[in-house]
Formats: sequence, C-alpha cells, structure tokens
Amino acid sequence: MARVRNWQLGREMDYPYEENRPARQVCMLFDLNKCIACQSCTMACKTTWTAGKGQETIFWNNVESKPYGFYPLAWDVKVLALLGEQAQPWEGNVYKGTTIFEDLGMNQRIKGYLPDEMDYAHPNLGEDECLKILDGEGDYIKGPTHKNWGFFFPRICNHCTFPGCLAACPRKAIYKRQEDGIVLIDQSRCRGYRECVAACPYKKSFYNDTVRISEKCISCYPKVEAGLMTQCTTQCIGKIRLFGFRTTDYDKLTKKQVRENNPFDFLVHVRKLALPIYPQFGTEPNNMYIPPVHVNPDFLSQVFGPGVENSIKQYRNAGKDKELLAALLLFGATERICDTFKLEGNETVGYDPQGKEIIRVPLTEPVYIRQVKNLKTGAFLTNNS
Amino acid sequence: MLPVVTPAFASGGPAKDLSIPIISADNPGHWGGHEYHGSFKRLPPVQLDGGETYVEGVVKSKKIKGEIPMDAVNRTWHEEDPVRETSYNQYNQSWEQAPATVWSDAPATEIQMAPQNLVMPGLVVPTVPVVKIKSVHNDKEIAFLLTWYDATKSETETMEDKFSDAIAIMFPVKDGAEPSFMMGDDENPVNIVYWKAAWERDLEFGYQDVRDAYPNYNYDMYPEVIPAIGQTIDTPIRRYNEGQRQYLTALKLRNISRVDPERLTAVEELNAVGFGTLTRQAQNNSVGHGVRRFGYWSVVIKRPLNTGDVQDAVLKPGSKTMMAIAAWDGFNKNDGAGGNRGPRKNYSNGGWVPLEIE
Repeated sequence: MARVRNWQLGREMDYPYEENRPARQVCMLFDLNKCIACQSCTMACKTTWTAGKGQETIFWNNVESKPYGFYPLAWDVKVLALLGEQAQPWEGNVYKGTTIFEDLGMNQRIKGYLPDEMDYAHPNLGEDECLKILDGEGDYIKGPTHKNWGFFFPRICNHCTFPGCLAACPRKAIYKRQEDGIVLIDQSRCRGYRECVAACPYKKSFYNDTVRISEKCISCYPKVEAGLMTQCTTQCIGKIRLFGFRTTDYDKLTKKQVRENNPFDFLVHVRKLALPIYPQFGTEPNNMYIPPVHVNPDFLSQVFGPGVENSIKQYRNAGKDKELLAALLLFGATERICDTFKLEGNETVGYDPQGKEIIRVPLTEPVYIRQVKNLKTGAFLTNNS
Repeated sequence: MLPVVTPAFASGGPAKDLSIPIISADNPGHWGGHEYHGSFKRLPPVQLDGGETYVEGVVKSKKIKGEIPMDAVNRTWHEEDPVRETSYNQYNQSWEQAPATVWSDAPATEIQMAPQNLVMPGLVVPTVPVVKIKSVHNDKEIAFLLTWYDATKSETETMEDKFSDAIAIMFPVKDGAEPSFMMGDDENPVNIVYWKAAWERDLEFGYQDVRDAYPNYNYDMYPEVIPAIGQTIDTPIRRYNEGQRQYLTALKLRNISRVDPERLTAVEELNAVGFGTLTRQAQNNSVGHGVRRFGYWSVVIKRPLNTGDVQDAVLKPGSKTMMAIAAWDGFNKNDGAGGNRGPRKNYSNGGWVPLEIE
C-alpha cells in the first residue's frame, strides 16, 4: 500500500498504487435542486451505449429517488455499513474514519461487496417511500420515523482519482487515461472476475451476462475527444449538468492556485458550492453535486461530507450573487466543453480551450409581452384570455 | 442448515436436511451417502476410475499404448443412470466389477491444496482441500486426470453473482527452469492450461446466454437484432455478423476467454510472468473434458508432448520436470465478495510438484 493525498478527506490515505494524477480530469457537476428524475440522461446513455444483448441490467447512468431509492439495491447503505456501524466521523474538513482501502480484513484488497443478482432486478425500488411521512404504518421500509423529504440523485461513474475498480482488478485490465482521467476497462483483457463490481463503492461497474465481462461508463470519450460534453449531459432537459475539465494537481488545489475563470474550479474549489459524492469512501470521486437545499442536512452531510451548510447558504443567495449566477447559467447552455467563462455586464460568456467564444447567456431573460390577439387573423395568442 | 420437511408422498421418514453443506478439511460433511474427510484415501469412491496406487510427493506419468480417450470415467459402466449416479450405496457392491480404463493402473498422487493468500484478494481457508491427479502418456500425447470433491456444481457465469468451478495445471515454459510457482517471474514464464465447468456447459447445451439463465426474461428489442432476416431477441450470438457484434464489445474484440460462441473445448492455454500478467495464447493445443459423479469433478486435460508452440512447455518422455495445480470452487462465498475466481483460489501446497514422465 502506498500513501496518497486525498484533498476531499483533508489527509493522506492508503491506496494500492502510487499517486498519479492525470494532466487534466473530466468532471461533471450536477445541480440537484433542478433534477426532476425524467430519466432523459438514463435513456440517452442506454440508447447510445448499453442497449445490446447482455446489457439489460446495465445502467451506466441512473437516477435514484433518495433516500430510499437505489440501484443496485441498497448500494450506499451497504458500503457505509462496511466502513463501520457508527456514522463516519469528520473533524472540520478532515476525515477521521476509514476508507474502503484502509483497515482491511486478512484476505481483502479492498472493502466491498458483490451485489446479488436480484439487487439489479428492481431499479429504484423504494422510490415511493419518501412521498409521505414515514410513520411505520404500512411502510415497506421500517426505519426511523421522519418527515417527508426527498431528492433525485443522478449518478454516473465518478472517474475517481483513486478508483476502487482499478485498484481491485487483479489483471490490471482497468486503466485511467493520462490525458483526461477517464477510467476504462480493457474489454479484451477483462476475465470477468467482477472484482471491480465488488470494489466500486458506487457500484458503477456492471457485469454483462452475455459476454461475461464487466463494463463501465466510458465518459463518452469519442465525444470528449471532439470537445463535446457527454450524452447524459447534453440530453438533460432540466439543464442540471455541466461537463468539462477540472484542475487535478494536488499542490495547486491545496495552495489555491486554481483557475478562477474555469467554471469547474470556480464552483468546486473557489466557492466550494459543488461537493463530492460520498467522499469518505476515499476514491476521490470527480463528479460534484450541488446539494438540494430543502433536504435534511444530516443526510446531506452523510452523502456530501462537510461543506453542505456553506453550499446551501450560497445557493440560496445565488440570485444576488452575479458571479455565481454566471457560472450556474452555463449548465445546459451548450454542447461544447466550456474551458473558461467571464461575466460581461448582464451576460455570462463561455470560451473553449482555444479562447474562442462558444456561448453567451443572459443572467436575466429579457421580458417580451405578447399580444393577446393577432390583429390580422383574430386568433388568440394566449390561452388565458 | 435449515431442516426441510420431506413431502408426505416421498417416504414418510424423518425430515431431511436438503441444504447444501459447506465442506472443508476441518469440517467434514457427508454427500451422496459417504463421509468426506478431506482425503481420498479414506473414501470408498476412490475407485471412481478403477484401482488405485498412491505415490507421494511426485506425479508419475505412466506410459501406455494406444489412444488416450477423453473420458474421465468408463461410461459403459454406469452411463445414463441418473438414479445410481446420486447414490454411492447402490454401487457399494459393484466397485470391483468396474471395468478397467487407461487410468486404472496409473499411479495417483494426492495433492494437498492451500488457500491463496500471498496476494490480495485471497482465501482464508481452502475451499478445495485436496486434488487427486493421475497422468498417462503414449509418446505422442500426455494426459492428466484431475479429480476433486465439490459439494456444489457451479457451471454458470451468466448471472451477476455466479462463478464457475475450475481447475488449472501449470508448467515452466523453459526446459529445466524453475520459475516462481506464483505465476512465474520475469525471466521464467509459465504455461497454464485452464479448465472451466461453464465452458463444459457451453459445449453441451450451446453458449449460455441471458435466456438460459433467466428463462422467463423478456426484453423489447436489441438494436443489433435484424427482424427482417428472421432474427429475434433469442437469436444466438454466434449467428451475429461482424456488424452486429459491435454491440457486444468483447465479442467483437474476440475476448474468447470470456465470450466464445464457437468454443471447441473446455480448456484454454495461457502464459504468465508474475501476478496480474495472465494472458491467453493465440494457439490452443490442449483439449479437456470434465464430468461430475458423486459430487466429484473428474477432468481430463490432454495435449501433445511437444506441441510445436514456443509458448508451451515441452514435455519429453523419460524426463523430469514439474507442475503445479490451482482449483476454484465457484459457489464458495467465504468473504461476501463472491465465489472463487482469479486470485481467490487454492494452489498446490508447497508450490511445484515434481512430474516424472516415464
């Protein structure tokens, strides 16, 4: 085991390989306040990549209804239980518990579990349990009684800096690309041991029954290489996602030498509005989430770590915070990967890596007042007259 | 173990325990009517393949004349007899009437197996405690008969959490070299022949696909299926053309260790130069066939003594070399992360076993 530096934990941790950060890192931002669980992203991914035989239970992208929806069944609560029965302790921004790479049993390489085949049979089972106040009367889930709250949780592979799947593969069939940090499974080298399926704490490596090997999200690399965002990002009708490249150099991150004009660095490292998903797992996931403002803060802290309070406070104030609004309005505005952005008066302008302008979005939409009636034809142009 | 009540129409006797026992050397169980103690020498069915002479600490390949058949057991004796197959007791009287096979006079070696825990992930306790091996050759071909006890038949890999029973034998590629028994080393590659129960099933029933694992499964349509030429969602993947195969990436890339709808034999040849380097050979010279009787797998692996393939070990009559064994119990879930596969295996305790070819 080597010692690696994990900025999300605020400390060093064990990892089977030396720290080797890519030149740049793909990153996806999700605004959970805007997700409506329409599953457009799921279907965009499914129809593009995983519609073939054997891929029936493979969802590289899925949207869960939290707190009780899962895919595969109970994935996150099972991994949390592996880390210990008590809640994972944080002291400020430093994680004091163990990750999936630490405190291992005698024959373990990584703490993980292999889901049962039936865990894949019912995507999002439990989604309706958050629609009313759980009081134990007739509820499928017997748990703590609490008021109803819930949110929709879109998930894809996190293309982690320290991937659990890569660490677990006994054959080194999984690799992380140096040029963009995308984690891939070599389909000609995989022997279907499913160690990656068991090891990935996010359960985003899937087993294909027909070809008998594991498959995972490829971050739409043919699109990324062409400077485009992924299918799940561009097909999102709620415009909740933003895809691009984030600074990954540890020294730059800790010394605050990040690019403030890069929307990802700005939202993640400068404003700390977007937070990692289950940072306590220790894989340094690169998908970042803007937590939903109305959800139980204890639950949010468990999922997104410390920093939830700061994030929600800023998000509630975003309407008055023009700089923040400028970054948030890039979400869903273009299919091209946005490298930098700038606030120009009442507009946010996005630029590609060559510095060429690719998108211009007004912070406030201009108001147009439509005529009630077309004077020529007499047809009504509104439906409330 | 949960007691299961026998249906009233069956026998009227006491309730039977029908659950499957987990058996190890320290925890002897019973199966098929006999006690299992982790050693073949104390078992009645040691005569699965005729008489038995044991040698210690060495595998001796006996020279015979004529062809070496791929049958692990003499099928003329008790073939197609499902009732008797399940009950040793009914055979108790007739073991000595078993007709001789090519294996009858070959000396047997009992190899104690150890759990692989040198590289993680591994096993804590052995799941296949002992493997019996016999070998014969006829100056052209050499064959190995491997027999081991496994209470559970695991022969599907077409479900997310299912793994196959398997066994492998390993030789040094270079004549006279002594590679690390842990998958070889940089200077000294090893040659591995790997048999898997799932491939045996593929050969017998056709390549096992989703519909075989889940008979009631339904799916609207796969994009690669062409209804205009009469294809349905149940069209076997071996009928797919090259364009259709693109939807099954591993099939298109010919990862035949995993997806081989045109498979010819239940073994494959591999090479390794250390942990994590196992690689399939382009040319497969070995053939294998396994059968299951009384809870035992009996697998015959046969190959030419000199295959002409530089990646294979050359085995010469009258020479001494060495071999090692690895075995997997696909059912065993000893740590919650699935059954035996990959490094979660049992290996011949002590590493290399001398192999003397007569």
